[in-house]
This record gives sequence, C-alpha cells and structure tokens, in this order.
Amino acid sequence: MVASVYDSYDSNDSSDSYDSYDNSDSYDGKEAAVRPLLAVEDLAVRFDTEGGTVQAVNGLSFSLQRGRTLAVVGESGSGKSATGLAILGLHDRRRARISGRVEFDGVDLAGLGERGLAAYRGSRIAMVFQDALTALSPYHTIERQLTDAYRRRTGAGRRAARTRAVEMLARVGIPDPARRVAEYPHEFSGGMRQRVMIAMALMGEPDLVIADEPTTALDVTVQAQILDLLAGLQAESGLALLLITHDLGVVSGVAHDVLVMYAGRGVEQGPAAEVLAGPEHPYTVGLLRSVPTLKGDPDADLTPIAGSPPDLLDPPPGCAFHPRCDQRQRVGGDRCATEVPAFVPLADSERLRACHLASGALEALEGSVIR
Amino acid sequence: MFGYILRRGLGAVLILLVVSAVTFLLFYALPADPARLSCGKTCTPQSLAQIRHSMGLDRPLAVQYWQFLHGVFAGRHFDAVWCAAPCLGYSFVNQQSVSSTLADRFPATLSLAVGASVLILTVGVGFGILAALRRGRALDKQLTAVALVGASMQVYFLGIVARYLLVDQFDLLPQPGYTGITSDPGKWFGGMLLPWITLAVVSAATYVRFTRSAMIEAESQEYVRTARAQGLPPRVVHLRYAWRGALTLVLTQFGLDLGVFLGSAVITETTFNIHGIAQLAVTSVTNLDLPMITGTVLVAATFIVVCNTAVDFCYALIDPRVRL
Ligand SMILES: Nc1ncnc2c1ncn2[C@@H]1O[C@H](COP(=O)(O)OP(=O)(O)OP(=O)(O)O)[C@@H](O)[C@H]1O
Ligand code: SF4
Ligand SMILES: [Mg+2]
Repeated sequence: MVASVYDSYDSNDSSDSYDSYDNSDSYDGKEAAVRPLLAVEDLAVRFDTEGGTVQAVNGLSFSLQRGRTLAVVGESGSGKSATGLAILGLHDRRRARISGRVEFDGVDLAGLGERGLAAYRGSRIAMVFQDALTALSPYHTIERQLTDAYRRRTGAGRRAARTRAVEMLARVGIPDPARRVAEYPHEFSGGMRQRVMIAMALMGEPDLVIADEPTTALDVTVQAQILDLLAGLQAESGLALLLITHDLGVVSGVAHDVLVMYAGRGVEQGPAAEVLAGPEHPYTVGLLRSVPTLKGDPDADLTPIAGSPPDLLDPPPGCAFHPRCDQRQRVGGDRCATEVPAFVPLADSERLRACHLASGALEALEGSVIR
Repeated sequence: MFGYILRRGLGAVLILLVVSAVTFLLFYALPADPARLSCGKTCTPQSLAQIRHSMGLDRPLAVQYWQFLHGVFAGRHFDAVWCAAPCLGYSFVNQQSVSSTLADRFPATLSLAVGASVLILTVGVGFGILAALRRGRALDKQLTAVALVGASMQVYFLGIVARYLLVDQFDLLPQPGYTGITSDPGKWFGGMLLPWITLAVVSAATYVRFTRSAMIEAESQEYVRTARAQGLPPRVVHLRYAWRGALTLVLTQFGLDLGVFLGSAVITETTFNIHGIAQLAVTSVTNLDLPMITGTVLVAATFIVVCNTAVDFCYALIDPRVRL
C-alpha cells in the first residue's frame, strides 16, 4: 500500500476513511469492466490570442470510472485546468476552441451547447476551484450561493433549500452550519471556505467532482484535512473524482490513478502507486526528483527539472519535453526532436506512456521518490 | 453604524464651515463694492453708508462671518426685517431672504437632477450591460458608436438644436421650463422632458461605455465562472452574479460624477431657461450678491456631501465587506 505523506496529520473529519485510499484492492473486478463514467478522447483546447494560437491541450485521452480518483499532475501551464474546464464547457466560448470527445455517461458533452451543458453542471458534474475566496461571490451569502442553482433545479422552496445547504455544510465539517449559512465568504477562514466550495459541489449529488487544485491555496495542515474530506466523501457516496494538482504528495495520498501531463499532452498514466514507485517517463522521474518527501533525506536528491516549460504558442517539434530531457541521447538518431512519441500502453500492464525510450530503461530512482 | 452617522455628520458640518469661510474670504478679496452696486444711480454718500451699514459691510470680516454663523443657528435682524434660523443672509439685490429664494429655486434643480440621473442610469447602465453581453457583435458595435456620438455632444449645442427641431419645428415635445410639481404634475413632466433627454443623451453615453467595461471586467471574475459551473442560466449568471461586481464600479463613477453634473447644471438651466439654483448662482455672481452666493455655494456643498454619504451607504448595501 502507498502510505500517505499526510499520515502524520491527525484529522477529525474522517480519519477512519484512510483505508479507502488504498489504490487497488477494493475497486478491481466488476467495476473495471463497466463502461467508464467519463471518457475523454483526443481533447484539444486552443486559445486564439494576439500572439497566435495557444495549444493548451493537445490530443488528450483518459477515462475515469465511478468511485475512482484520477489525479492529473504537471507543471504550471501544462493544461490541467484547461482540461478540467473543457469537460463542462466552461471556457469563454469567444476565445477557446475545443475539439474531441468528452463522453460522460454515454453523452458527448463537447457536442452540447450552453443550454445542454447546464443540465450537467452542478447536478451530475460539479467543480471545486482552487481559491474559494475568488471563486465564491463576495456579494452573496453562502445560502444564496449554495441554493440558487439547487432551487432552480429541484423546485425546492426557500426553507427546504436552506435546510439542505445546512446539511451539506454540516457534512463537510463546518461547525454551527445553521448560523454560518447566512454569512458571506469573507467571514470564513481559508480552510472553511474551501469546505463551503465542496459543500456547494455536493448540493446536486454529482457523479463526478472535478477539483482544480483544491488545496493549493491552503496551508499544509488544512490541505491534509481537505484531502481527507474529499476522500471520505468519495468513499461514502462513490463519486468519481478528477483531482487536478501539481503536488505529488496529494497524488500518493488520495489518488487511485494518475495522469501526468506535459505541454497539453498525457505523457504517463497508470495506477498511482505503480507510477510513483516506478516511473517510466523521464518527465515523471524529473517531477519526482523535484519534490521533497517526509521520509527521504530532506537535503538529498532535490533537483528541479532543468529548463522551463515550453512556449505553447510555438511548442518544440517531436517530443515536447526533449529540450529538457536528460535521456534523449539514449534514443537512436534524432527521433526525440522530430517524432512525437505515441501515448501507448506498456506491455503487460494498465500503464500508458509517451516516450521513445525502451520500457524499463530508466534506472530505479533512489531515495527521493515518494513511497 | 451610529458612530458612522455621527462621524459623517460632524464631517459635513466641518466641510460646510470651511466652504462658507472660504466663500467669505474670496468675496472680500474682490475689488468690487456690493453696496455701491445696490445703491443705484442717484447714490449719495449718506445712502451708500446707510446701505453699507445695513449689509454689515462696515464691520470687520471676522465679525461679518460671526454674524452670518449666528444667523444660521439663531436667526438675525436685517434692519427691520427678521430673518429666522437657518438664516443664510438677506439679499439686498432681490430684497428677499436668501433661504426663501433658495427654497423657491431648489425644486427646479432637484427635478432636473433626479430625473436626469434616473434616465442616465437606466439608459446608460441598461445599454452598457447589453453591449457587454453582446460584445464583439453587431449590437455592441452599434451601441458603442451611438455612445461615442452622444459623448461628443455638448448640452448647450444639443439642447438648442433639439429644442429648435423637436419643440419649435415639429412640436413633438412641450416647451422646456419648470412648473411646480404640486401645481401641475403634467406640465412639470412635460417641461422637464427635453432637459432630461438632452442630459441623458450626453451623459448616458459615458455610462454605456463605462458600464460595458465594468461588466466585461466583472464577467471575467472567477465567481462568475463558479455560477456557470453550477448550471445557473445565463440570465442569472449575468444579472445576479456578474452585475453585482460591476455595480460597485458604476456606483463609484456615479459618486464622482455628481460634482460634475452639478457644474453642468449651470449650462443646462441656462439652455432651457429653468430658474434653478445654478442659474441663481450665476446671477448672484454677476450682481455681486454676497449673501446669495454664499447661500448657493452652501447648498451645492451640502448636496455633494449628502450624495456622497448616500453613495457610501449604497456601497455598504452592495458589498458586505464594506463596513460603515
Ligand atoms: N483564457 C486563456 N487565454 C489564453 N491562454 C490561456 C487561457 N487559459 C489558459 N491559457 C494558457 O493555456 C495553457 C494551459 O493553462 P492551464 O491553466 O490549463 O495550466 P495549468 O496546468 O492549470 O497550470 P497551473 O498549475 O498554473 O494552474 C497555459 O499556457 C496558459 O497560459
Ligand atoms: S521521447 Fe525522448 S525526449 Fe521525450 S521523454 Fe522520451 S527520451 Fe525524453
Ligand atoms: Mg490550473
């Protein structure tokens, strides 16, 4: 089992739900054979800007089963948020062009207009954004923001909707919810505000929650509590969680699977435990080398990836990672700079990878990897 | 809340004291002699001295100012005439107390200001929101073009042309002018229509542009995206969530513009022959009527202080983070 880096934090929310993070045993068998809840195929997100077209997401495919957590990781600008927003069509339609399929429960959401999407937003798919302070309206009470869409959807009266909002606030661990529901976002602490965001997402009992860096704006202790909360809620209700993060600690703590993104493409994907323990892509290795761990020697092996993420207005040819890759000499000829590596399954495993290097060629990482 | 009102009230009193003192000083510094002006053609030295005495001009400035303040709070005598508190002075030019003249003139200016503000805000804000929501499309471009033309107009030019065409030539609107709202509401409304429309065309244009950009700015806020992500229909997303953010910006602008509107009232009242406070101020300056000038300046200052307080109150209503 992959031990959480957050093991040392005691949380009173759902400390007993840690068991459910265990990556493989409870979800294989029947579930895996079922059609995935979400299947993204060849998704592309382009922004037309003055400087040209930004290829934020470029031919991305992945799928997610009910009850599972898929973590999407990558450096800033790798297209994680663009992917999350594209699923619900939340991009500004004036500026973004989206292509590909976003199949949710058998329906291609990418083919729906604003009106068609409204039937999914908030009810079947809910979003949790990074910074609850800016993502919640400063001008409206929590009650108003939690119940507006709910009442419209269900026809519930004011009082019933309020009761439900209070229930949801209680469920995410907000003390004295009956009083606090009447307050404004600025009257909450950062962690409590993020709980409010999560309560908002739960109002419609969604099948899928997309959480875009839900803990990045919070301090470490609170981060752990929020992750516990999300994992606990997932265990309770069996929702699928798409967890966008750049924090590999988060991945090892709560995700079943992980998708590593670079420059708008998937570069490595698989069960979180396997990918973290034995990365098969040089970029994943680089990411793992650049994070501190609680268990490893804090000063050892901490090496950020050299160079910086590519300019998405003019991405490098071939493998987008090649200007920064320390393994490219090992690939014959100049393939890395000319040929885009396909994102394909590795033999005999559920894992996928996009690299010209032979599988298993990366030497085992020492010490620094999160274990 | 109570503390806020107290602070605001004291602040207002202080501002009005300073304004009145400065008006006195400025007037005193002028080389002209108001007593000489109201003395007329057949002016003997005796009658001049008599007038100067009854106007209080023979006493030192500080004493004159003190008497003025005393009159405001306790009333005072001008020769045989008793001027009750709040007495802002007695106009020897008009042979009337300043307060009663102001009371006569104020409703006209107030009608003009309130009516024009309502029209400017509804038209300007309404079309501004519309342009923002349709940005980049034909309607937005048309509205922006119209707003540009409107904003380049001047009240006196547009007023005179509109009056000539709409009233004199084609008889589409009644003659502009002020009638008391209580004496004949229909006539009051008719007479105000052209001034209101003219002011609205000129100023609403700025509000179309301003609201449009405030709204576009607000639309890019993350909480608006959250509202969309919840599945709320566009109407609610725009008008309930985005608009609340834009409203604070528009309100700030309106607060700043109140003073400007007041300045332009001089032109408006002259153009449409409305005998309001602004016109009174102009004639008082021409006549060197010190008491009347002080009175109009104080009324204008009070107006601005009251309006700004109202704007602050609105802020606190709109934005719960603002504490009074
Ligand atoms: N509205 C937009 N207009 C133009 N470019 C955009 C827009 N939104 C995102 N981008 C660009 O698309 C790329 C991917 O952005 P995205 O927000 O998905 O990155 P991210 O992986 O979420 O990074 P971060 O960790 O910083 O949140 C970036 O290069 C970004 O500059
Ligand atoms: S394809 Fe080449 S450049 Fe890209 S990650 Fe693999 S080895 Fe490195
Ligand atoms: Mg992001």
